[in-house]
Amino acid sequence: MKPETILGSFRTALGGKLLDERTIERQVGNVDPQSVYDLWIVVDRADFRAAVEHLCAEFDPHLSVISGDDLGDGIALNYHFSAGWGERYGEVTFTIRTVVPKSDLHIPTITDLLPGAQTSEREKREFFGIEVDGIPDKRNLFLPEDMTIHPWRHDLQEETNGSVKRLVKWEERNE
Amino acid sequence: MNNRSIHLEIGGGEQTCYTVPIGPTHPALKEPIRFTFDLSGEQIVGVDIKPGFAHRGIEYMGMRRNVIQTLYLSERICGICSISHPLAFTQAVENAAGIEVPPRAQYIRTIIGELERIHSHLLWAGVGAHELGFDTLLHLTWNVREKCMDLLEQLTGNRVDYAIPIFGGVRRDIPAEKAPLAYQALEYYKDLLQQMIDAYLHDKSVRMRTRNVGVMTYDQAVELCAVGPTTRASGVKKDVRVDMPYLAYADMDLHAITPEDFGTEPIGDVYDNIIVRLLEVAQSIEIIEFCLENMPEGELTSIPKVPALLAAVKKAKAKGSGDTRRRGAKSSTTSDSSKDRTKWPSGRFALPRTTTSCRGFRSSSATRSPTSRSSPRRSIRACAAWIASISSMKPGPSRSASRRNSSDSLGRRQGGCADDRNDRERSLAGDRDPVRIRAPRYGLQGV
Repeated sequence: MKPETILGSFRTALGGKLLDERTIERQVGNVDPQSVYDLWIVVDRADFRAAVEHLCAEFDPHLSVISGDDLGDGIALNYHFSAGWGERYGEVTFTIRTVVPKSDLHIPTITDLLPGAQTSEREKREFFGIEVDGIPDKRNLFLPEDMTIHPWRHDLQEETNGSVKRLVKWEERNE
Repeated sequence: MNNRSIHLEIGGGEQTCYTVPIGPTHPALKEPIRFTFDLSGEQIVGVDIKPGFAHRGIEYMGMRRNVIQTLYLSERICGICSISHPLAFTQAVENAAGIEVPPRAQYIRTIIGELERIHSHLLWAGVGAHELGFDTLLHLTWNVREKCMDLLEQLTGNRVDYAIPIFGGVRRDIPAEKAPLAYQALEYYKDLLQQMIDAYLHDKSVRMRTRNVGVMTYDQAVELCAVGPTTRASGVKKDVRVDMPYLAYADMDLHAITPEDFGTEPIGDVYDNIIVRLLEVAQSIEIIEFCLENMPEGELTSIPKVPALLAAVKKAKAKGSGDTRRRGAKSSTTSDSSKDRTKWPSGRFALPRTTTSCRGFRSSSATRSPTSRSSPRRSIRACAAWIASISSMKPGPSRSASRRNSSDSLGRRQGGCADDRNDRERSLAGDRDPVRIRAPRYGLQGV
């Protein structure tokens, strides 16, 4: 799939809602070098759901993972999709980036569009404390069920460190 | 065990459904995880999965370490996949920081990665046989898996945690004198593969216990974003080596292996998973042969000095370069940090070049195994023809033929370890006799 096809489609569909876009071209291969492309777009949280709906309707995407990044006053969520799989050199990674402010940590779910997103959404929910609206399963996935701290948040590091220290102390006591 | 009534379409009416928890610790489980199965008779109609009982907080630890330290941490995420995680991590950092990887390093990474795919698939197949209640096959599979582990040990120094990739290249070369060892192991697996296919795919009891069991359809695989051999077993032609090639895969003509290569329609059941894994072992053998034959000469790494490497990553302002906490604290107090949200690290920098030079195997064909193929460059498309030839073969030798083989293999087994050691020492010393490819030491007479 051509990167221009995807980006052109999003420019048409989202118009001015497309805050930024980036095409990263990489050369692979030593004998016959070819280009592979990583595409990034940035949208506002209000338009995020529309962007994913457009992607799912047009390009039959695969979601690799959702990555998160604590920016200080907000948390950036990168939804790493890829489109065009099944064809040699046909796949293009396509990342939709949106920022959730810490004053209002809510993001709509995409599990109704792509059920495979649920694991990654649950992970972001427990590690960042982001409320995923509409997610069918709100339990912790990797952390203990009664754990309330969010280890990937930079502003909550003291609580996380305290939890780790308590754990070490508890282990020493048992010895 | 408690029971409850739910409406089920199978059987047409209300049926009693039992909930059976397995885990977090259970004899059938290799690692702590809890499955809560909903059963209707012997049919599993639903499952709830709870992983995380051995959550070690590797991301949290990685946040407070530099990239070199995190590389070793990433290698210890999983013992079976101790190249895939560091490989993904190094490639992510290299892409972000614009670090180049020399061609020879790409080929070495590919070889180690494919060797890991062979032993990982054999491990999976062995566990599968164990869960079927077919422990003879488990022991056979795990026995032949050892050859791959031995080769990895001889190439890298370790059976697991090979510590091969580093940002910008690899830490160890595969010298030409080690190539015969690799060719010997590949020939061993080639000879063995037909027997494995007989034992797994042409066996009536295996087929009865795996056909139409654990089905994941094509649509489910796509919706659930499944990857790897699991999704290819459902007929989804999704393989990152083909779709978006990296390392040496870009120099080969590969195709995604699905049950169609075996001549059957993909169903997505356990049997199809076995098909894909066994045929992928064949594909891995071809890929490793290709890499050995076409190994380019050149450097092993573009940035050999660790301080220079750390400086290069810091220059790219990548997260995890050692200043994460300060960065987080700073951005929480500055008001204009929102402007930086859409910015990515940019600016490729010139890389220091080393003078290290390594020879390719093409120039040292005298040390190669005489049994290996002599064509200088061979398309991996040949793999498809080979796999097709394997697939079209009839179920293996008759029982009497197996018995004849078994006496041979038993005869060899008596002096097996010492012979192996002598072979290995001779090959390491570089004065090997012409390589005699052994038949598998253990025949399939017990199967």
